[in-house]
Amino acid sequence: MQSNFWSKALSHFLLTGLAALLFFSSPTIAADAEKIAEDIEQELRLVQPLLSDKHEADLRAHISLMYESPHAVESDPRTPAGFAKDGKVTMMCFACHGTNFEHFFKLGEDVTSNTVNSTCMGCHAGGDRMHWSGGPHELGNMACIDCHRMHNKNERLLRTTTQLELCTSCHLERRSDFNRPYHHPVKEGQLVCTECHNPHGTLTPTLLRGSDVNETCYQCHAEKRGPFMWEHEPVREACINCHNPHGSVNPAMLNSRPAQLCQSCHLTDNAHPADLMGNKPNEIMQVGKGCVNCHSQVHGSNHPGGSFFRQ
Amino acid sequence: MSPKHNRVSKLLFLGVAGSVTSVVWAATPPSTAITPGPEKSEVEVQTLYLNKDSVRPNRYTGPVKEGEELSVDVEIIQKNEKKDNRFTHLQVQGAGTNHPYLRARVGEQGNYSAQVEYRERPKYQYLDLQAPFAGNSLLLPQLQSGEQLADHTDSFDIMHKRAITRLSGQKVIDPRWRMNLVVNREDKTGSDLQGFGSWFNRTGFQMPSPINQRTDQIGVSLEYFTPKMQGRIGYNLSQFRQLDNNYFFVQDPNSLNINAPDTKMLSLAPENNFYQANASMAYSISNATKISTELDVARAEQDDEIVHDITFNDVLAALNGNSLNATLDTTRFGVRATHRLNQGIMLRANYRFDDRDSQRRQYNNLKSEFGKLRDTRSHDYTRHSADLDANVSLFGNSNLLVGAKVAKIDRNKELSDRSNTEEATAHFRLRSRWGSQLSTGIKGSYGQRTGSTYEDNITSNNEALRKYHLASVNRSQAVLNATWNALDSLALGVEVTWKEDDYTKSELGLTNDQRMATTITADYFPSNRLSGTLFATLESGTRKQAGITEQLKHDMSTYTFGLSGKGKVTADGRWNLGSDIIVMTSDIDIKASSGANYSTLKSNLKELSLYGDWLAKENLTLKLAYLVQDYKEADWALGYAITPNANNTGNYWLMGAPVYDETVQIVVGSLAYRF
Repeated sequence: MQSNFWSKALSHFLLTGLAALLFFSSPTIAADAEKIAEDIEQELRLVQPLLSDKHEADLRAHISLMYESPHAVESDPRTPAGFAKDGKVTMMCFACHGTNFEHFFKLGEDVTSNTVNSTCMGCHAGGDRMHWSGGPHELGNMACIDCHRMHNKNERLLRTTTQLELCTSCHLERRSDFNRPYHHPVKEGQLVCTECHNPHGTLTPTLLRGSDVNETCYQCHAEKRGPFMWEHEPVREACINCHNPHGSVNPAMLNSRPAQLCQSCHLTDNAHPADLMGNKPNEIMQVGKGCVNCHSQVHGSNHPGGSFFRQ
Repeated sequence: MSPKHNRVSKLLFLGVAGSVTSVVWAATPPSTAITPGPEKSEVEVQTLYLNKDSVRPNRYTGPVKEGEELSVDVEIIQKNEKKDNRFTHLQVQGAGTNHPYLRARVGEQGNYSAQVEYRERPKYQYLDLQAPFAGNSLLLPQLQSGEQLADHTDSFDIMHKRAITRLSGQKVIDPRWRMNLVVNREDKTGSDLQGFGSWFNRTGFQMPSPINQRTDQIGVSLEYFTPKMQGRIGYNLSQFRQLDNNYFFVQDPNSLNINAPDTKMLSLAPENNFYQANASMAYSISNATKISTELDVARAEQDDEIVHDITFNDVLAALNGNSLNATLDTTRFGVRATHRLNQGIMLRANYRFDDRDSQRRQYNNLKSEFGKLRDTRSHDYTRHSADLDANVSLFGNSNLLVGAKVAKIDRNKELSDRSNTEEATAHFRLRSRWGSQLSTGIKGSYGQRTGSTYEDNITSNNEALRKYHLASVNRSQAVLNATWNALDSLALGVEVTWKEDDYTKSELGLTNDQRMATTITADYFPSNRLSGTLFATLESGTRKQAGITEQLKHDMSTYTFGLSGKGKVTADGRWNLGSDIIVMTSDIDIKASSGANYSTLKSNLKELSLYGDWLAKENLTLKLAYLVQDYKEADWALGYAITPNANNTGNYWLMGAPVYDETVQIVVGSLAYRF
């Protein structure tokens, strides 16, 4: 079995390698961007020679990255490049870096968080960033450039390749959560943090995009919205009464397993569900899916016989 | 070279689409921004080999069956920002697989953008479970004389797939106004592992219940922007539909006569509609004072036909009509004000109002399945919450945040001691920077919720239903963290978190839930050719529950370790290598005071990935990745034989969900050509 696996793997690799040899073409180079960057670099070194040497070892490459970004679209009058074209500034770089390149956005050295944020919010205060003021990231003294990098090819100008890398650089526990056996598929690339959260600020708790926890969940799990004929109140109050949306060692991302989870509330002095966990680990109330072996419609039921969520 | 091609996740989890979202109205709105990066035309052909059937490593993408899978990615970016703002972006990922992704985007920066996306997102739960149903139906086979049902089981894969089609766009009307539109359709098909049974009769069975549903969503919004004031109004609509019926039939394998079995009529989720109008605004009264506010008004309605199961004719006969005709109206209002007193002090105040009002044709006191009258438990409440914080810059480089929050919830239709809960929380956070290399933080909060209490001497089941989510609880949290730039190339971090929910006034149910997590991180960047990251987290927790005759204690510990490194083998970056290691172990011990013996529940994951890419020519890149994942678990709830009464489980047909103990290997090779 092992030798078959490696021989197949090797054969696949050789096939793709062989296909590679069939393709040749001349490389394409962004010649315009290269020339522009060279011009800017020369001017920048004249204006700020010491700062240029200190901050950018490869200035031309750094400038080139900007010229392939949304900030460099000259025909858009809202952008720094558009300012330059309209004569509002003599060079697009000045729009952010100051008219004499006063700063290079080195937080704590030549610029403060407030200065950075004022620069960016001068154009980007609307939309998702409307409630930035007073949000937990602003109160944490964070700056836009803590997460974003303007000279960048990332689609959202993120500092890292993926949102998960970026967010878990501060929210360390989430890195572990998404490696647990049952998790939302964030590390698989099927979801991103901003599906549920707006890191720029909201008026809802924990920066949720929906108006509350349940509304956020219902956007993908609309079948749980109800209303149902027979309701289950902890479900209606908050999905997180039972689930950990980031990840859990328990199936279905539950905070603990049925019957334990259910017996946080459901105890009786008679036979069922009776007292805690019985004394038989292999009882049907515990094996398989536990209580949900019978009470499968635990989120609510529209069946006449569904008062106990069995149908 | 695009950075994404250096990550093994992009090789192994095909269909990744960067930061593009699939959620509709609450997601990041579409933008007219041009795609960053150079123009490009690239085709990438990938071949993946999986060495055995397994759902674990590729649960959300596939493949899950042993063998090869070929896929094609295409990305074409065209733009000409020197002449005009127009761009087109075509992205295809995973073509030829069961998790394809297509995105086509056109636009003109500052004017408009339009985008169409299509994605298939599978989720595999189990392979080759067994059940005595014939083929893909939920019908039992006809038995010949002397035959047993257990001799006629078929194999079922439990999985579902979401097929999502999304149209979105943005139009910049003028520098102050923008309009957004998103239309989304999601079809979800497949099966789920569901159970039906009766504890009192000691019978039941699991089955692959059908999933065939559709959710349509539309969101439209209008945004206004000036440096002083920003606003948005929007309308959102969601419709959830069952593409077949809102019920299904299944034959009971515990029937006395298998050749004339009992047929159960089980419900699926009822169809529902959701309408929401929302408005939000932020206004800078001055440079120092800002106010933000948000209002949304929504209605969820459900008027699907109540499942007409004639087994419950007495319940149906007592109903007022044959549908629920239920609405849940929500009104939410939030306002926040911030004021900077001076350079060192900022104040923030929040208020939030949340009201839910439930109306339905079938209200209280319906006849339940056991003949008793029961409340349908529809849920109304009104919640007020308010908080006040002060953010103070202290001497040196320290920053102190202190604040307090209060909340009150009034619930209708609850027993008197549970109808109201009140919460009060105080919190603080102190962050300090010690020179240029060390920063520390300490954070704490203490809160009390006053609600229902739960004392012994219950006399009925209804009183026993204490509802821990309403119970009085003391909630404490403390966090310590520190980051140290030990060297120019080395950053170390540590964080310790402790949380406790103490249900001090409860003598039954959940009484205490305590967790502690310690995380260390290290980031090493000795040069621009080499980088490495390490993290380790140890989390432990104890959950205590009190019963009428016995106590239960649940101890959990989870250890997660990750190490990754990547580097340029050649200085020009034409040849790169990388590696990731993940180790996760988890133990859960449940101890009942009666002495019941539950063996430790264990999960153990070890994963190694190696990847590399080689820029063979300026327009040709070869990539290779290898992943091996070893996953073992010990779970006394799984691994039972499917037939009833196996291992004394009672007369219950399980489908044989396994206890995993497997090692899986994946090899991916790809060739990317830019033209």
